[in-house]
Amino acid sequence: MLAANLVGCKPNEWPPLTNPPVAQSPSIWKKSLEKSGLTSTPHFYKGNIIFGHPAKETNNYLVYCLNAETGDSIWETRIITPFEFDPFAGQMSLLYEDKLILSTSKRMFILNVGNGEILWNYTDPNNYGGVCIIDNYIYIADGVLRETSTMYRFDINTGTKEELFTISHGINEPGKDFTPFLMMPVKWMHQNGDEILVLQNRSYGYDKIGPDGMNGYSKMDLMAYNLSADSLLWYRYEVDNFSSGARPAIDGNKVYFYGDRHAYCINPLNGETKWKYFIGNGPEDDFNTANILIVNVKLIVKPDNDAMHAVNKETGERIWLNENTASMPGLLTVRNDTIWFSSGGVLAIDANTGKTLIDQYKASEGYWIFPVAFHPTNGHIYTSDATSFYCLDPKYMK
Amino acid sequence: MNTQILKKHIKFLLTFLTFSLSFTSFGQPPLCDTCHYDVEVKYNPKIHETITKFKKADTAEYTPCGTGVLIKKNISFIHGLGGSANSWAKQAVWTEQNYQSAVTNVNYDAKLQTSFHYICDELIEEQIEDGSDDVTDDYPNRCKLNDFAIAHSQGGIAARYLDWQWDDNQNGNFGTREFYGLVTFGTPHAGADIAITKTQHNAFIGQIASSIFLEKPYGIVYDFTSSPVGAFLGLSGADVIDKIDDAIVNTLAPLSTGSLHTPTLDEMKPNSPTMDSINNHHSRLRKVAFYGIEEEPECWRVISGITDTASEDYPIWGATRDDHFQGKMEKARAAHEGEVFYLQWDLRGLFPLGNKRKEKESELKHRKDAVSFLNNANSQWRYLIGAYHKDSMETKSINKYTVKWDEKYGWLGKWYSQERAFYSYDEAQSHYNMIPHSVYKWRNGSINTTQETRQVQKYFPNDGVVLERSQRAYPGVGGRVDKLEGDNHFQERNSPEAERVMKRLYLGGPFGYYDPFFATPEL
Repeated sequence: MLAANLVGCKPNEWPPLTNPPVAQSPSIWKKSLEKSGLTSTPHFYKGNIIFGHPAKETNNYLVYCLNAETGDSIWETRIITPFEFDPFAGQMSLLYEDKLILSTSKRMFILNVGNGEILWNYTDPNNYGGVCIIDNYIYIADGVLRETSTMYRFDINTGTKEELFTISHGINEPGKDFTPFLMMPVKWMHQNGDEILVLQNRSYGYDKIGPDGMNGYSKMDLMAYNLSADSLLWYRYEVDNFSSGARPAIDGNKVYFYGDRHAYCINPLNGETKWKYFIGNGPEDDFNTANILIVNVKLIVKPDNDAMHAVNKETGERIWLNENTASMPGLLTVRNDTIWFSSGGVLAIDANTGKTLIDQYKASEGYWIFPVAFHPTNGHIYTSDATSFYCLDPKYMK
Repeated sequence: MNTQILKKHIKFLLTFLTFSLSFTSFGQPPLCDTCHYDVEVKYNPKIHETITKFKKADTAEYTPCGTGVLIKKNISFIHGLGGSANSWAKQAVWTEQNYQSAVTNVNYDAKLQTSFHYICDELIEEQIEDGSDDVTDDYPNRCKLNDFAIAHSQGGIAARYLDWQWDDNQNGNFGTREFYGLVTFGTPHAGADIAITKTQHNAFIGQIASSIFLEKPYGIVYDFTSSPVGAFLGLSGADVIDKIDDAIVNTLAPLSTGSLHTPTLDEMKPNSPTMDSINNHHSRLRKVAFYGIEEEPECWRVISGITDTASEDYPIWGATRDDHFQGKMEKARAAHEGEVFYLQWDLRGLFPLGNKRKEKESELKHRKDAVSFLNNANSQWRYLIGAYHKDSMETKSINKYTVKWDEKYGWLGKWYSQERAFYSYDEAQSHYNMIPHSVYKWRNGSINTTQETRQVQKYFPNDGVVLERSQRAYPGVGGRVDKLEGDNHFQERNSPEAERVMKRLYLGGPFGYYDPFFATPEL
């Protein structure tokens, strides 16, 4: 052997390769769920991770609270409804202080996240479009017989319901002869101290021919309602056509909406357009599934196609464009300048450069279509594949 | 081999054949520049022109119910080729139980040797009409203008055929319109390329079958040289394997593909008179198209869904990916490779002689062919479904990562320069990291990136049966589409992705998904 080493071996007689080093698995822990289904948006709360998922029994829904480090169960709450309850859409599960709001377009449950107790619940006689929280109130807006849309709010502590205002279908109404659908608002404080709700009336003409030549006319009306004075501050008719139903974002004296192939920056004082950003004329340059995200000086613009744009939130100028993310995303979330979402795999995009950091990572062959939550300090992320819930370490996600 | 085992083999084979093409699907491994393709499909650019066709309705889409009227919908579910009432049964019940709607679950025999005209006129239309009338009996004042249909695969073409006939009722056979909107899952709106390759299906299925047949089903080695299989099939002699293969391809495979090769499949060829007619009809239906995109190996994934557990056998929205068949085929390939090694060893010398030698040579050839087929099966499947066209190549720049280093093998040994090229940075990095563990000494390690221009086969994404662009090519669909990520043709009716899009469909207007026309409030 020594002699062989001294004279050297031929290149094709190398010593055998040792086993390659084993890659560190990104999976920290996973919890099997009772059945395949749509998981609600997860939330991190005081060292625990909270989310909901359908239980195996019909019309049963389970809300889980797990230790974020270990995946051990802290509490579990079962919600039983006469019909299916499945708050799967990204913006239908909200965490506010120590309360979790889970909602469908028909009913909502408010839970104490400390112990899982159901504090109160609500079933709407009609159906409503979305849900959001401003201060200590939960807002919803219903639609009745394609004639009216009314904004309500509930005291989050007591469940007391309060009617705010109604927009009706009618030629003399601000939205004219269109069926109104009030979307979720953001709150802006007027310089005189009045509380203003800025929102979209995503109105629809069922019997009208739209600009695309097809029957059904979709238009984006914008409005501001003065809650303090209980009156309409301004109403802008048909700012654009087919728009996103996502809740707008607010930053100081600017409110951002997604219209038809354009992102808008609106002055909440008078509804004036400060700038608009054009995303393109492609067949999927729309915003059906997107939500609006502000990261530092950037407004993130994510249409339904593979592109993601970052624009200067002050001027509307493009900062970067990544044309190869994934289409039809769920809820976008951000942590430490990284934008996270799932669309057939978990994606992470550097908010500063637009570079794809993690490209559709999947820890299993399941369905990676659910929003991502974060641990505030160790960087772990939490999401689902429809059959299990995962804690993953992004360091090892390739 | 005793007769029982033989019968078991034949039963397995027939079961496999029956299922594997009771709906068309195939396929497997990675794209490679040197692969050879046994399937000849003539590339027809017109097919792709058709797919981009976009026609707006002359008189706009149908006006849905307005305001202040009773909207009690009837939603009709229409299955595809090879399906039955079971295909949509759970989804229909789920819809009725949770949303303000009545449902009609259509059932027709898609295997009948018949035509779209027949199945639409005699079977589907009548059932939808009856379903709608039942709802109207219960709600006489209801507005029907919001009734719509949800269809899978061929069911979408049947629904469009009905739409065309209702508008253009030349012979008066068709009654009055029963739905005003259509939602399709995996429907080949621009035609099904797989319908062009009918004649290759038997050969392909035959190759899969013979690859398994001469392997080790049920863990028992099938010794074909001494078994009665030759007598069973009326064969004898040293070329028994070739004859068995012939018998599988020409006799057994057509038994299974026959039920699939109906006139409706011919009618679904791109640019067929039927497809041209419905694509040239200026439809006024409200539309949404859902399309599945499956990952490779599409072939085995689709066959898994057919041979193991059908989509409808899973709980509601529970049809997840099944890799069982892929595992089975990988095992078969490994077993063939092992046998090839031993056969080559056996044949290295002068013995055996005569017929025994011929049989071993024949077996060796067969097993080598099986390995080659299994290595290229997914590529061939892609040809059959139109995901590859032989004449459709594209030039691509790809990164090449060259790992370079010097190494020596002993204290007094000299330094050798080494290099190895990779087309994946991860693989290059992994190799680089391994060098210190594999040589006595090394130095000057580097990874250099260069670009290479290559002619590669253009790949068209698909759900394992239908191309993505055909699934989406519904005139007027515009942006009203959604991708079912990772779903194959069968899963896409009953997967978590299907659940997501169905719920979004019913959410309709307020949330902004698809078209408010389809909004169906929760109960």
